[in-house]
Amino acid sequence: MLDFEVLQLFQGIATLVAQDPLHAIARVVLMLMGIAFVYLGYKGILEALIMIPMGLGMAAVNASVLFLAPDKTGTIFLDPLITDPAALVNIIQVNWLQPIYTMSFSNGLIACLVFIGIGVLCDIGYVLARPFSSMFIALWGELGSVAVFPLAIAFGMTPQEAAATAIVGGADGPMVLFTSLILSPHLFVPIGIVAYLYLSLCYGLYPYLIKVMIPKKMAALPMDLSKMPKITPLQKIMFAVIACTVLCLLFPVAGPLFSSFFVGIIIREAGVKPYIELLETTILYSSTFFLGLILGVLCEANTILDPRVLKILVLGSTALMISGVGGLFGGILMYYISGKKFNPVVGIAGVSCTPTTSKVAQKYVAKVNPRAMIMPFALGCNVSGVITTAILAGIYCALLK
Amino acid sequence: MTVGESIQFAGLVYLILIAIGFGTAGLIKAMSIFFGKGKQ
Repeated sequence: MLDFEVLQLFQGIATLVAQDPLHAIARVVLMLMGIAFVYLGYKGILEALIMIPMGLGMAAVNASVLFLAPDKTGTIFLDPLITDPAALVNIIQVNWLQPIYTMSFSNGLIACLVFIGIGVLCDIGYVLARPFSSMFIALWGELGSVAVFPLAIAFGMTPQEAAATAIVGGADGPMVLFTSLILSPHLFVPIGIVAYLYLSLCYGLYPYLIKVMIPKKMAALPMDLSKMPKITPLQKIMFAVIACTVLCLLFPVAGPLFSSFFVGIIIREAGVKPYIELLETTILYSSTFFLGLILGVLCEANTILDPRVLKILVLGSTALMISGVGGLFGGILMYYISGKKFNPVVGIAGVSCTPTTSKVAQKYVAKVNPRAMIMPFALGCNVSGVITTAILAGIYCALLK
Repeated sequence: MTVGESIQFAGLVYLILIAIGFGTAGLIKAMSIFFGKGKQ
């Protein structure tokens, strides 16, 4: 009769029994969280495009811990901490997601690919129609990304770590990944996880913030769409190419980000259909899918139990909260500056989580006044927010690298 | 970097951001005027 132990057969359970209780409990909690993320993504409460692959990756990686050696546990998903080239070449042939992580994630390529896709989706005509008011709101929406910097220093972080954490307030996932890779690569994994978790929570948090800060009478204000000037594709293309050149000249370190965003815009406006289809479907969705899956796989108990994660969680949520408050405050200021013709709820779209915050603003306003349409104004602020976050990333990287 | 220095640094960063942000808005306006003549 063959002699074997049941736990030897089911190694995921065996490692749960063998690990210290804290790690075992963390693994079980993360598996349950992963399952919950998939459910909430399916229900539309969290962002499905990110949360479904992320939730699955999170549940699977924490379940798939096995004995790599008699006294060593781990997974064959990926190892984000490998730096030795010989060990990396070896591990690429073992871990199934290691090639994608090494070739596209840890060098910022995936962030730039997502950014090209965002560029193709963005209509900068809304910014070009009202550049100063859009930029005014977007600058207020960056308040958290600046205000949290000294707070992070007070929490004992280095200036590079503080900047990489503060940029979470810009609510722009690819930008957060890019900045943390440049300034603070050792914090890249926890910052990336925290950033994407929070971005998905924008849906849930910001409507309450609007409710608290904006009186219903102000939120119900309809905006006049007839005064929006018509912007030609040539104007958009010329702005994109000149702005990209000037911004790359000012901040070469953020050149890949600027180039990715503006090339997307130019391809959209130039009407190069094969490229538009390729970028807005295949490239954007495959990048987003692998981004979600790999972020989920990175949510392993060992990473999450890192004490720095708690600090980043607190600072990241504070940054997003201050940015939201700043954006809405900017909206209220614009309401008075414009002679009470500007709906202050648009202010939340200054936080550049595009197009999520625009949708949040429109949904809230439509609930208060079904005939009020603010989406074009909100999208203008949203795109300005993407540009200001890229500029801020450039400033931080140039001053602190 | 001390907390006091970091507040000064954050203030400086925000000022630079405001200057470049409104500079970009000005560039947009100039583009609209220059390339949009007679097309609106």
